[in-house]
Amino acid sequence: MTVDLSVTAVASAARRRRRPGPVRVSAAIAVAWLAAVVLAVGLAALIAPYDPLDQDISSALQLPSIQHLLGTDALGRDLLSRILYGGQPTLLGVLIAVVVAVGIGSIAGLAGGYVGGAFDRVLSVIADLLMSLPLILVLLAVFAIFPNNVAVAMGLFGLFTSSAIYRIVRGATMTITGELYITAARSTGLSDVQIIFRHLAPRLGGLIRVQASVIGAIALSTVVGLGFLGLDVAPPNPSWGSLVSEGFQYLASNPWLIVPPTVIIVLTILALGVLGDVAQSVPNRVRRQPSAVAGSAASVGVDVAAAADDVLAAAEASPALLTVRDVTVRTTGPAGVTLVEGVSFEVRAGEVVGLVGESGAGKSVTARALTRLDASAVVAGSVVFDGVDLLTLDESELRTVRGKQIAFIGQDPMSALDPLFRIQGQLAEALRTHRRLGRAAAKAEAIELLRAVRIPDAENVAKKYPFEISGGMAQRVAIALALAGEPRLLIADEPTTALDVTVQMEVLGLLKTLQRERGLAMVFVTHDWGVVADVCDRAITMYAGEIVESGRTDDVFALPSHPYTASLRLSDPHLQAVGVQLKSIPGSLPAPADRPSYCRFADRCSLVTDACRAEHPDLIRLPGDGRSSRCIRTLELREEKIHV
Amino acid sequence: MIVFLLKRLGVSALLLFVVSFMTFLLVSLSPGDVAYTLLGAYATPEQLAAVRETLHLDQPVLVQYANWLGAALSGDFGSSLITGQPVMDAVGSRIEPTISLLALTVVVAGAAGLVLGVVGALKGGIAARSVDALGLVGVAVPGFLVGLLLIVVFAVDLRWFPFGGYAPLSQGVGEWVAVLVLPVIALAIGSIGLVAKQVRASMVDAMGSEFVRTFTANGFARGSIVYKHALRTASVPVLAVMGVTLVGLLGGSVLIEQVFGIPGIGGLAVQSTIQKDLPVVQGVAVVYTLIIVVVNLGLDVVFALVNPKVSVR
Amino acid sequence: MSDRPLLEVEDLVIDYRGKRGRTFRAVENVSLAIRQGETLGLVGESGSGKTTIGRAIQGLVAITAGSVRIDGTPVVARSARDRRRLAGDVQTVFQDPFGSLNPARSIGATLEESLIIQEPQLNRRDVARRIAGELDRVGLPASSATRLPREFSGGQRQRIAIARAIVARPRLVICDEAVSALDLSIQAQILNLLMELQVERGMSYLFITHDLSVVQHVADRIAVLQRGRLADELAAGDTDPARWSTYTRKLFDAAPIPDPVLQRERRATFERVLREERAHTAA
Repeated sequence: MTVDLSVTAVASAARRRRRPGPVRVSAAIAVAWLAAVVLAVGLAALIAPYDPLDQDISSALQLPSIQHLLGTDALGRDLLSRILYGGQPTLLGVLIAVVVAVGIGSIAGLAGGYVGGAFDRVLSVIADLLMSLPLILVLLAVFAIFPNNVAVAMGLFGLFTSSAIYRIVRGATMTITGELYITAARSTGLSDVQIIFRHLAPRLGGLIRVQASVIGAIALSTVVGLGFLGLDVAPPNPSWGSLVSEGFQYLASNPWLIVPPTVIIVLTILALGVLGDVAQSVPNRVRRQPSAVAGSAASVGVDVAAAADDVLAAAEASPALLTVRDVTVRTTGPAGVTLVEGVSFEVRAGEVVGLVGESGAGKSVTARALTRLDASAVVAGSVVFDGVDLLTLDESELRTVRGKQIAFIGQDPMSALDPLFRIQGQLAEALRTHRRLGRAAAKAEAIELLRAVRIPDAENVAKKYPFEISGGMAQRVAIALALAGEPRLLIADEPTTALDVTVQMEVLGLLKTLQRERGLAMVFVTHDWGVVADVCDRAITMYAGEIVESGRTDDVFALPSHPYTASLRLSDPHLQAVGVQLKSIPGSLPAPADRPSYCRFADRCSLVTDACRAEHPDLIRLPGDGRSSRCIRTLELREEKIHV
Repeated sequence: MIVFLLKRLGVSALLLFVVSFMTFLLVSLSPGDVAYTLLGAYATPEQLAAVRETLHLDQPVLVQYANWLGAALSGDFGSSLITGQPVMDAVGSRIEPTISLLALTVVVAGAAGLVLGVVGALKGGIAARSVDALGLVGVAVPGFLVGLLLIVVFAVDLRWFPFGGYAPLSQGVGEWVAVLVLPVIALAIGSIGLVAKQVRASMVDAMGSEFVRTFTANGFARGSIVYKHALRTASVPVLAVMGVTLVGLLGGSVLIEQVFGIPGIGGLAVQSTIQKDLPVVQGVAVVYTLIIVVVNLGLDVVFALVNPKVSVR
Repeated sequence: MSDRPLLEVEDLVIDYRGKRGRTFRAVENVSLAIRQGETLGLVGESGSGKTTIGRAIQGLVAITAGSVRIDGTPVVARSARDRRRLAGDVQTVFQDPFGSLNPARSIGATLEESLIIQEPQLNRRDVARRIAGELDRVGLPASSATRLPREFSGGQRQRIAIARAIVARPRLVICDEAVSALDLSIQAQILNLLMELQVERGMSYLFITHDLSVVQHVADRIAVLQRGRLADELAAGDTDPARWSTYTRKLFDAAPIPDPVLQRERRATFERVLREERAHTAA
């Protein structure tokens, strides 16, 4: 299994496994209804009790009875039979519209999206035109060339609607074509046709099915409208639309007449709509941050008051700015997965603490849990900042801490800012949120902030939009935004991973400078040991959701005390001399669901013994500031009695 | 920005040409024509030919179109072949009800759709599902059927609103609104759901963007994040959807005008089509297309204002 | 063993058409060569043109000027048939382990596609046997063939991508940032695998990366690209920075060393170079 430890990924994977029943049920009902209707209409000749044109004036406008299950119309004709036969031109019209719309739209969308260039531009203009043509032209087609010919009218309607399908299919095609496996397929020498059929078309099947349902619903609505206007079939032949029109005419004398055709029409459109809707489920709502109060105490299983007092007392005793104790992060719900557990560490004022590890280790999850940035995560334990346990605060209280006391910068600089607003405006908003500044003062201060992060030509850059600047500069702006509230602690989640190495060096230098100038403390998440050596005062190594080693950076590098850290050094090309084969660690990091109950690194460890598999090891304190290791053989390792 | 708008203007002009040409073609190519309507079924071939010659119906289609186009570009849309009334007058006298109906519908559908969509996005749960259900029902029940239902309940039974017809704005806002309430509701029902659905989807998308997380993480006010930033990001796809719904609204308006007896150009469209009154048909087609063009251009301007990538690059 | 290099690139120029007809020169006058069995590292930051060169050699991108030759024959890649022929000699392992495999097709189907297009004469049993053999060679069980990409980890998917590249026995494999997206512990596994395969099958590698330290471990020679141009060409054992160009030195100095003491020195050097550079441009 891939180990994507981002909270939302795990949470949504869990949700997918428990797909709710009601959605499937409604789809099944819709399909059943449609099948029944199509079958009944198709077999009208066999099952209709009367000929639809059979008049019997003596029994006109009757309510349902044994002889006429749905009653009769003004000319004594059986309504049920007329509905059954009337469905034929109606549903035929729908079929034609759907086939034309989806057929033309899909093929054009596939071709345009894949080929691109001038061909695509021409198609797009044609689609634009088609989408803007007024319905009146359809009316004209019905009347002008082929009177009362539903097929032509709905065919034309399908042609007009194909532009919407074209848009959607083209968009999806372009997205898929941009994916790497299409490039890979081309590199193996597949022809375009082969690629379209084997790799593109199968991915579009679901999308096209959904669009076909939606078009079907709209087409049915349209053909019924045409029938209402008397444009689809020549009387006395029935169509569903014309039946509604007849019912309308006799609304005063027999209100029942309009009901059966209306109900059938509405139910059928609903069924088609439901089918189109099912696959388009939007995530239910914008995620809101849950409060962690009740959850934390319950999960820890300790008396809330006592624990809080202990923790606060401990925090007051030590000089640490941030004290993290026994933090556990799980995804929400009864089937919640534990991502991170038993994490404890301290950050002192002005200190940079690194959370280091590979993907899936839980370092990012931990950092983001400190100010509860992920709504799909439940955080337990305590996070005491400046004497206050953040986990006991509710969302609005936490908002006063974020930005003003604890700020955040993330990995992707280009998406850290709102692309629709200028940089100056966004910085000014951050400033006004945290400090009492008027509009003009905020705008001026925004430029000062840009200067503080060493951006040359700050006035000009302030007026730009985020997409106009480079990645490195965008990250500087993101740092400026984070500093607007003059925070004491900065959480940096892999801030330089997406940058070029020379730019990374500059941005790290900037962070170091700012940290010195402002006495800023940092929790720095990274997977790069070089960055740890460059920036961090202390290093906390995480593996499979827990801390496996910690200590001052100099100490950890000088004497790795856990087989994982030690093995990583042997596989790091930055450290090993050229020509020496890199030692690799076999296997891979276990997913949250696959974590063993014993040492989580045991199955990959070259120093493993039976004792390692007996039980889950605790963190062992070692001499040195905050030094610890979770290996029962750590002393042997440190004394170099054993080597990885 | 200017370049963008000029391009859109170009496409709009092209659209007008295409529509007018297609309409012309369709009517001209049909069997039977206005001569029959004017003279009746017992006209002799000579009489028919004479009428046709007078009306220039015997010339090749392209020539006829060129003539029409030339006149139209200088503002002369000709006269009805049946009544002789200038097309501009015929259309002009009936345009106010249609525009009123469409404008109010757009406002109602847009506002209601926006509010419902945002509420659905923020609250989730039952609210969201209700919004979805409303969208589904709105699309499912054709507007004219809703109109019928509304007439029966509110106009006939409860007598809260007039039965149909139209009251010009110049005669008082109150009556104007009263006569339009039911038809607007009937016409808007379909679109409200679509707009709300799109707003909800776009808002949920926007609220999930990375910059929203960054702003939240740095303590930005919730109100600003939702209503200033996310909503603006969400507005882009919503504008696109509104443009598309408008075309549907035009078609629906024809039916609603029939149901409620509103003397707008919808009735004129159906009537002139049946009678093959070519100049009137052309006039109506051009008017409908102009409405679409103007509204789309307006949406394009708003889009360009909202999206800096269009104006700056 | 012929004298002629397997791959010869001469004065390569590649232009892209940007927005509003503006042309952007991605690669300018780059020449390089790779002999049979040799590994050439191609190093550069984003925008250096290194990926573009890889794509051009694989026939995926049009060449504006200059030549690319395999065994003396110029690479022509205008049609699918040309690309197919080229694919018999050159294959690529792409960077993104999560995107380079079609998520809807089984591993076996993906491997089979690459194999059959080069050796259409194979019958089903031979194909299955070859695929099982390659999967085994890259360290995956034969049962993987029926599974989908999403059931594998990043490192495993990269092994699959390698299997797909070598199944048709190419002579040159382009590794386009093949290990950049992998964790440190997995990266070493994949690098070792690539080196073993090279010894066994005598393949040549064009190793494209932004990481100078990684490439020093695998390449015989290294070409450094800066904004589309060749800034430097080094031999692997050439670890004396004094003989490198300024840009190469800057690139090297910019990568942080996992050693606090050494890194402090390196940062001091870097900051000094940066100050000099700024003073230089200001003047």
